[in-house]
Amino acid sequence: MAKILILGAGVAGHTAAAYLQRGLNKKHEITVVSPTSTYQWIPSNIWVGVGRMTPEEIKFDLRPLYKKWGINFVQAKAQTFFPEGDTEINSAYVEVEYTSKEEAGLKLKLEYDYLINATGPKLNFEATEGLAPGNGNIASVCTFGHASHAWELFQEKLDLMQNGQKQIFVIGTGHPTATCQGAAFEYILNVDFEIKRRGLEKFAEVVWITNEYELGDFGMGGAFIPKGGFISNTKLFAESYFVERNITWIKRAGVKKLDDHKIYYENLDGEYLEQVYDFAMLIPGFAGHGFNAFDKNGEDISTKLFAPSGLMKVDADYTQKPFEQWSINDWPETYQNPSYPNIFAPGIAFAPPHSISKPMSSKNGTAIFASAPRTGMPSGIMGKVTADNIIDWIKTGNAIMKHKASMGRMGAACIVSAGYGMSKGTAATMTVNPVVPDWDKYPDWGRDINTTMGEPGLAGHWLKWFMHYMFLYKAKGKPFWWLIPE
Amino acid sequence: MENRLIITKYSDQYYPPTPNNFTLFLRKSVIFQIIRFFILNYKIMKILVKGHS
Repeated sequence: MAKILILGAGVAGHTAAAYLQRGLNKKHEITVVSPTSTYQWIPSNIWVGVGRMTPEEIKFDLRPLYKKWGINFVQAKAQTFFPEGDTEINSAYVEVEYTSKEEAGLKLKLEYDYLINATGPKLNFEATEGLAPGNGNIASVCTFGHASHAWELFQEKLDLMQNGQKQIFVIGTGHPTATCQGAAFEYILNVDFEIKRRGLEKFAEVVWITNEYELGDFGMGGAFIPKGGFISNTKLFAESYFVERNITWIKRAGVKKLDDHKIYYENLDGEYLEQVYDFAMLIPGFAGHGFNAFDKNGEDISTKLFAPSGLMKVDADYTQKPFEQWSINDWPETYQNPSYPNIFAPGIAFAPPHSISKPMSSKNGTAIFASAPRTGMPSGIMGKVTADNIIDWIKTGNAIMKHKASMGRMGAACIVSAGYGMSKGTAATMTVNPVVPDWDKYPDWGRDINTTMGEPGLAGHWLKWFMHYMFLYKAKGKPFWWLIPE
Repeated sequence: MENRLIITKYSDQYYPPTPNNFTLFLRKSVIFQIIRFFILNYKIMKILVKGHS
């Protein structure tokens, strides 16, 4: 009997749990640890943040599903890793702390033969002074709870505009090296859509603030897409979206601090500037969760498991090298820790070898650039590949690792909602293939130009709406869920 | 196009392309978008299937 411990029940963790229970005999023990007992379809947070969906429509309780699947569920957060056990326990384990009301604070040692660390990122609001959601006029859409608060705050601003009071909406990135520009891009377009739908645009100024060198970078160095007889950069694509909607932008900006009505930022020219706002939704920086790890003798081995960012080291090439020498071969394929091969870190929990966008610094030495994004589709694929490799390992007794999913070889689709509505809605369907540009294979454009695209239109909204229900159907383990791809 | 009247010349916002009326029509045309819906689905499936082994 093998014990498989999964930390995290987000896209990567839940996908891995689903495929493991399907692929393994019931005699094997699967345990999922998550601080909350709900699964949320994060891409739809955007619609919660503008009041088009309720939190209940984008989440569900995992416990009945895991009971049906024969998976143990522990509502707790991981704290300390003991990959060799200790002087008392002769087996690898993770110490977790319960988070449910009834057992809050109690600790538990969970032993494992295979560990999947899918804990995602820590939303590092503390890294930017004043950024925490709920702090005055600041919102977030990173969780369904944050998005619900964002909608409440947005409604207050809509009411003020209805009374003739002008409001400034600033949306974008809230840390000099933040990522997830795509989510902020969706939110600003939806906020703008909802303002215009109510005829309040003359009372609104909508501003995009970003750490991107150019708009449309999205943390992946931008992309080239065929459009109108040209192959153009996503810079034009993103800028066109904003100009069409009369949204202005501030780029190359590293946000350092917020107070109730001002955002303080530094730009790549080293200037310290301010932007006034009445409503701000800025994506925080991401970090690891600050886990510690110890060997059998109690020696701290955290650096063997984790990168300085706190994210887990995997089969990536972490050698420091200049941007010009970066290659897709730097990126991991199996998400296996090099020191402890029975530990995996799919999704956002793995430490990328470097960013995808070129690192930039201001004249004052402040790093201002977009970190590498890892959206739902790659995270789901990584979760499935990890499960497939563990299943093979258990069944054959050999760590053959034949299933691979490198961000340098996989494509990704991102449907950027720009307004909700089955007849008046719109979204941009974006695909990149591969996620990390492969300049050796595609010397002209870095990616396969036949499968890299960006297309605005109503069909994009239908796709996003369809995917919302399709992926929740899959996550709920409804009949034939496994036929739906990640 | 009316945005051009309020955009400051020589600013970043002055230069990007904006869709013409025909493009805007196609983006909202139900018949055209139904066709695009299936084409986009096919394209996404294509990159998904090739993405991992």
